Amino acid sequence: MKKDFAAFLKTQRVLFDGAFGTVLQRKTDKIGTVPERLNLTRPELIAEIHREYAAAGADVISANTFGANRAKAGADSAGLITAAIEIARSAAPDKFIALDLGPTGLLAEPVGTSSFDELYGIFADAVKAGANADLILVETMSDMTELRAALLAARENSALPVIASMTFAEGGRTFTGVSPETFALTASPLADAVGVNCSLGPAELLPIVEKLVTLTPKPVIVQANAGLPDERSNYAVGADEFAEYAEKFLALGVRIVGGCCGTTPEFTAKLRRVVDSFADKPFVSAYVPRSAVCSATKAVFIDGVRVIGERINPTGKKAMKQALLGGDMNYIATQAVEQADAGADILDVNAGLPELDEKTVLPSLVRYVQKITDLPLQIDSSDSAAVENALRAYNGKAIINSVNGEERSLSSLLPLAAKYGAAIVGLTVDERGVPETADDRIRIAEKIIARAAEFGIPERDIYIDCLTLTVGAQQEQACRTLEAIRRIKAAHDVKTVLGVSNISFGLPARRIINSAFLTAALWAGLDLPILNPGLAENMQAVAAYNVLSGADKACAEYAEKYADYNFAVSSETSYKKTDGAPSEPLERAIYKGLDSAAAETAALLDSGISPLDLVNERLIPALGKVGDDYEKGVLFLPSLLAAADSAKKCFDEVKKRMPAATGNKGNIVLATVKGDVHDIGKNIARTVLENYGYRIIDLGKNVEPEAVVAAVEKEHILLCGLSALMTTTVPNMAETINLLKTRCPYCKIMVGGAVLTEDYARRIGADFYCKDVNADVRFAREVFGK
Amino acid sequence: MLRATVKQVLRQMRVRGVPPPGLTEDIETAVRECARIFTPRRVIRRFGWNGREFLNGYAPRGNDILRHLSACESVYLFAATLGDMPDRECSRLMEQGSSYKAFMTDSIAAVMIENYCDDECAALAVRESGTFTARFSCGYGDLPLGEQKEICRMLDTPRTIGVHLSESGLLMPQKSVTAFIGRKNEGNGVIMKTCGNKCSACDKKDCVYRAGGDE
Repeated sequence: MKKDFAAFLKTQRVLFDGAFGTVLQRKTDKIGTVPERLNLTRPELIAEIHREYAAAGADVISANTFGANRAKAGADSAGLITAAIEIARSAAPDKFIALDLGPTGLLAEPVGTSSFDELYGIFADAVKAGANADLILVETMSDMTELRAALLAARENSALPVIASMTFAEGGRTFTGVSPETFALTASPLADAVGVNCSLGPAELLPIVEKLVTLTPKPVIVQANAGLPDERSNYAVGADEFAEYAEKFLALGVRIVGGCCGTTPEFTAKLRRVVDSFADKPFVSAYVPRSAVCSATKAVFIDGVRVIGERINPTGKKAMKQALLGGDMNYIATQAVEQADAGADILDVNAGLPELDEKTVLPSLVRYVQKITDLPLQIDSSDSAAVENALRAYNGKAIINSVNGEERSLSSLLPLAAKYGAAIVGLTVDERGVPETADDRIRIAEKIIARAAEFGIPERDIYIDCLTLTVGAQQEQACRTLEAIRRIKAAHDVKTVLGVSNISFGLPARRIINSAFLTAALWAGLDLPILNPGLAENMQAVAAYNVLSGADKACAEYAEKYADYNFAVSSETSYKKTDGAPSEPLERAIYKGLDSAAAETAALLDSGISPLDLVNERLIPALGKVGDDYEKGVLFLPSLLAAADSAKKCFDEVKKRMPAATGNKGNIVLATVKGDVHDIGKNIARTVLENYGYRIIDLGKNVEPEAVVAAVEKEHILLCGLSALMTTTVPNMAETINLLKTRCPYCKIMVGGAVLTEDYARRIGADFYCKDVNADVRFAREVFGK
Repeated sequence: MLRATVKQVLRQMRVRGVPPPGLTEDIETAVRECARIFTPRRVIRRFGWNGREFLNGYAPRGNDILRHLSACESVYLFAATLGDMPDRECSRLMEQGSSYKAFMTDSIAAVMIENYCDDECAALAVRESGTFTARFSCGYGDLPLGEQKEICRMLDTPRTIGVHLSESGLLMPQKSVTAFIGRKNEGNGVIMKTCGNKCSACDKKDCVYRAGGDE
């Protein structure tokens, strides 16, 4: 009979059972690759273990379903899960039965090959099969994508209480870099209890637990291993020591304890006594509510000025608009990295263009940017479908930019913020239009705050935007905005956010006004300025404010940052003079792979040289010289790449002035074949080929043969490059080639990868074998005649 | 502490002769940075072995591995990784137009994982008495890549060190290694030298990475 775990958790400290796997191993060595199959073949053995834990005093019995998901157990998955819960139920009829969901064994993108949707589907099936449990335990998770997939699958396919537990390594982070902070911030809105299990013994977990209890308002669970196993799988920590630590955990405020690998019913019995000894002690909460957002690996607490970088937004930015429309992800990547390097704490991402299907492009953009940087993201869109898709893709706790005072906006976006636990920007504008007074702004802000409270969104997750109006058109509004910021911060626990550059629209020397307004806003209480961190005066204003307000203790950061302020900083390595390097500054800089080549290019263009001439008469030949010397063995691959990187920056300078100057000698599709994720060779080829003026359609890695064909067909591509680095994936290359030869006979195919040879390349039907990147360029010239 | 010498990295980057000016300094800086941000882990477990197969019934395929493990009384399964930072860093550097730094990072990681494995195997030999074979990985000789599946399962590598195996036999994160290590009871923390070096035992004579005998 099902039981109400949520009610129990509300008033009681809870004791989970101990390890199943290690206890099972001691009872039998005929376990096989899927231990859950014993639910069908040896149910009495499974029941025996459950009974032992129940007798030892556990409140919750974890059913034998840890690896029963369909990725590990195959088609039998649902049957194994239902059997497991039945066995547990009959072995321990008066205990809570937990559906125990462990990892799928698949690794999420980008390091692995599994998508969020794929992982979600696996967990959703398991959750549905486990409907007869009393609660769902998602445990031993080390990856944020997989954790979120499991938690959302549980929330969206079941009404049962959900516990989220991650596994931390000795450095205090999970294998994929998740910290207790990012875990707590991301999982707390999606689960009824959060905590840690496995990997470490109780002593090693203690510091992590001490942190975790301050980071979440939810009950905390701890299931340590019985110490760290040695090479013979012996666990060092005994039941008495384990129980001592359980006492420490409970004293810290932990509400649920149990045991993981190496623990036994003996441990559970000792834990029972410890938990009972806390029976009359009131619950302790160490939670410190703090305003914060995070990515999977980086938490940003809004306890000072935090800069939001505004550059990944096509509005008014021609280059970004072109990049988004053309799928030029590299440009977006450089913008992300440059903003991060310039000191942005959070990045705004916006894909709002009429030509784009925002609800597909925005999540893709989010997935891409979060691969490039670990800064938390602000999802900039008012389209609720786009926002929801982006939130599902976002691996952390995001900011939604924005809702406003209109009911339509509030009712479509606040539920999303509540469900995914995102922070939300509230724009003080409503159906009456832009407010004239500070009072109006406050009124709208308070309406948003009150409405958000109905969804359980706390004030610390609301960032009020008091609107920056153009001072040239409405001069008195600048002061009204500042007054509104002051007053809303005084009256509420919200944070404030503001984009400043609109203030100076239409005036000359805009940056002077922007900088002054930014400073004024910071003193009025602005927490989150949205700006271009690449403009020196912006970050200078923030740095100066931090000094004067005392935030920058002892002015230490300022002193360090501006110590060499008057000196020009050269950012690249010093290559000494070599023979064989060209003597002209531009060619020399490219040859030696220096960033100064870009400045040389800019200077030449400013002096009147036509972009087309520069490209054809200077840049391309410069690269040619590098390529020739590489072929002769005078230069090696690192130098070739440094030159390519340098040349690319020169081409970017040319593109800024004349987007079409670099021309397009031909379109080439590149892909790393299905099953293979080694892509550095392909990426190097892409860099060099682009520099030579070809347009590269890079399909990425692990690409299905059909996807390659589709890309070639779409634009009638004449040259396709495929790479594979493993003997096991070369057959996929052969399959791709066959498909291409059948469907696109006009397309020539070049192949590369250390595992290939000229001979094998011919045998699988390739037209060209590329033993190095110069060969790629040669074949491209052959195919396109230029 | 992860380590890589400039000489090893130059060889991995296929630079022969005198390196161009600046490259050595760049490598030294990058090695320090990589050692700081990579998160190496390893798992080693000892299993019973009867000379042909493990006591749980698993028999690795190929003749070379049997020859390697002949006369061993037990076999250790070994798996190591540098974690996900090499993959993430290379990808990030590549995306932002720094193919030179990406290539260097990838090359340093390739060197570091091998050195890390060497160090961990040496430490194992010190910890446990006996005489140990050199480690033998899938892909060496005629030991098929497919054997990695069983190694990863027996070591529970996703849970113990965060290493996953794709359907195509690719270890993820990429800078990861699995291997068999045999042990004989007598001796005291010795690692047997194989004849010649790792490369001389392999058939791919035209491999660009084939060692010239100084490994």
